[in-house]
Amino acid sequence: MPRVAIENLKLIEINDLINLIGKDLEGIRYAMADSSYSKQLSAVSSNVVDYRFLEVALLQNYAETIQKLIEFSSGNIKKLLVALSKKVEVANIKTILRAAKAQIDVEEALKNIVPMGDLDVDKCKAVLAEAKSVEEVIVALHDFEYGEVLKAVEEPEGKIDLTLLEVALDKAVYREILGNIEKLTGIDEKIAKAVLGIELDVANVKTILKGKELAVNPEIIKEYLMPPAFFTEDVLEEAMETTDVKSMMESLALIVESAHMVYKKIFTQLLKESDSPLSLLEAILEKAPLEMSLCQLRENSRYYNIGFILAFLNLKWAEVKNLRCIIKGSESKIPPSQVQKLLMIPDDWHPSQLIYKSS
Amino acid sequence: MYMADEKLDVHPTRLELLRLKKRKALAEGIADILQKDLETLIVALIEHAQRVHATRTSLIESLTAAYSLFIESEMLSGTMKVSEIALSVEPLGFDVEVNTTTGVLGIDFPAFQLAKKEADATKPRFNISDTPIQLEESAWKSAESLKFIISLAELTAIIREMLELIALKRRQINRIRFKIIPQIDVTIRYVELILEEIERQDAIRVRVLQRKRKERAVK
Repeated sequence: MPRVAIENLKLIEINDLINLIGKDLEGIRYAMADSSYSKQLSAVSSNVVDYRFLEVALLQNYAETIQKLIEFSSGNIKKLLVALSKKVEVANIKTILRAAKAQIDVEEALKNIVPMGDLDVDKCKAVLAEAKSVEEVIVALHDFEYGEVLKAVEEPEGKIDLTLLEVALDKAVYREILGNIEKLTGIDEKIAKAVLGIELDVANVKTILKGKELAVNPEIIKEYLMPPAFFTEDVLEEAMETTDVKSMMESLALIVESAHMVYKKIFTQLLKESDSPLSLLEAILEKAPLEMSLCQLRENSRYYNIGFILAFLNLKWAEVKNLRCIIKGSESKIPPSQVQKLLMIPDDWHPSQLIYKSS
Repeated sequence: MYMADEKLDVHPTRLELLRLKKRKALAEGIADILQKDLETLIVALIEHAQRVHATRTSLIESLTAAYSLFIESEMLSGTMKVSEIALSVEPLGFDVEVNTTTGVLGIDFPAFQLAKKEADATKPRFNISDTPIQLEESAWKSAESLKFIISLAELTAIIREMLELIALKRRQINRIRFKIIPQIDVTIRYVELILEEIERQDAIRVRVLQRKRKERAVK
């Protein structure tokens, strides 16, 4: 990858990120003027700096970063990145479905869409204008890649459940990503499986925890699970059958004995905090893909490989989420200490050093 | 002369005087009972006002928690996504049932009850694989706030009713104490005056008759 391109893919230093907490929106925009977000932020009107514009700018930056990585990659890595970019596309389809369900105005719904891949603004606008219900959106997307996925979601009484459509889309994207990982070989395959695997495991454990908290029937929880990774279907079923969070964590902690050290670290932490509120457990789980990404960066950052890209994308997504959190906190006048608690920061994160080293 | 001092239209007889005195005793008794009712109502009103304060505090706490969790969910998942989810989720169906309940002094007061339409318990309301728990918790807190709102509305209705009753009792007591009893008093004084006058005239008549009888006896 050209060095110029790498320079554009810089991450914000954690100290700089923390320094943004407590600043007003204008101050945050000014402080980020020299960051990789400058292009998207300069498009924001200087008169009206509001949270919404900034959130859109952050998401656009993330989408453009993926596009750049796709541009500079080739072969199976490119295919995998294209599959990963479909997460953004699927987010757009979800927005369209929700907009149709909530009868949101076309122009208003378009503001929430970050154009990506085949689903550009014109296509989204056409679908939103044409379809007045979820069923009509499914029909309007019939020739689109995920049209079949949506059509396959059947409901016994003919009533379509929006959440199941969303889950079906996520599952389809993850299946495609996993399919592309299978095409990789050697160290690339190993790294990709580790980074994407922990993401899926975290998603599934979070779903089970939430399902248990809401006393949802295990059979229903199963419908919301993503394709299994390190935790097989049997392991997940066993976790669903446990009586409480502690026993669930105990059983999972035993299983991760043979797993990567990041799993051990995370599940030891989860076991220790098993009596804590679910929000804290979710926060610990969400750190897992980041920890794995950093681990892969440390172990395999000598050359441009899939580990580097996937780790970078995870770190970038965490950065976007952290910035969004800081901006929303600033807009809602949330105390800085509370904002900092919600940030996703691994204990030993020094992004720029690692990126420079690898480039 | 005040209206309260107007006497009643009665025959100035001893029997009427006795009746008036009985009426006065009865009026005073009624005024005492009404005064006790009034005091009971005021005590109940104070209790309800304290409950309003406690319920309002709980409502504020619940709404603050719901709002704070909602903001947290926006901080974690973004305003755009949270607003989309909030707008597209199945709304909670609820109604308020209005009944009556027997309260202080056996009086019927309004009773409000939250009637939730049964949601599909088999399925989670939000997508459990893609929604932050804070949004779910915020929804719970908002639903909990509804109970406090209904309770507060019920207390407000009861207090309004109590205030009307207190005003009514006060009017009744005032009417008895400052109109009926003074009227009876004036009438009693009038009847007594008339009766005294009759007695005096009778006494004079008796004396005149006695004097005439004596004169006739002397002749």
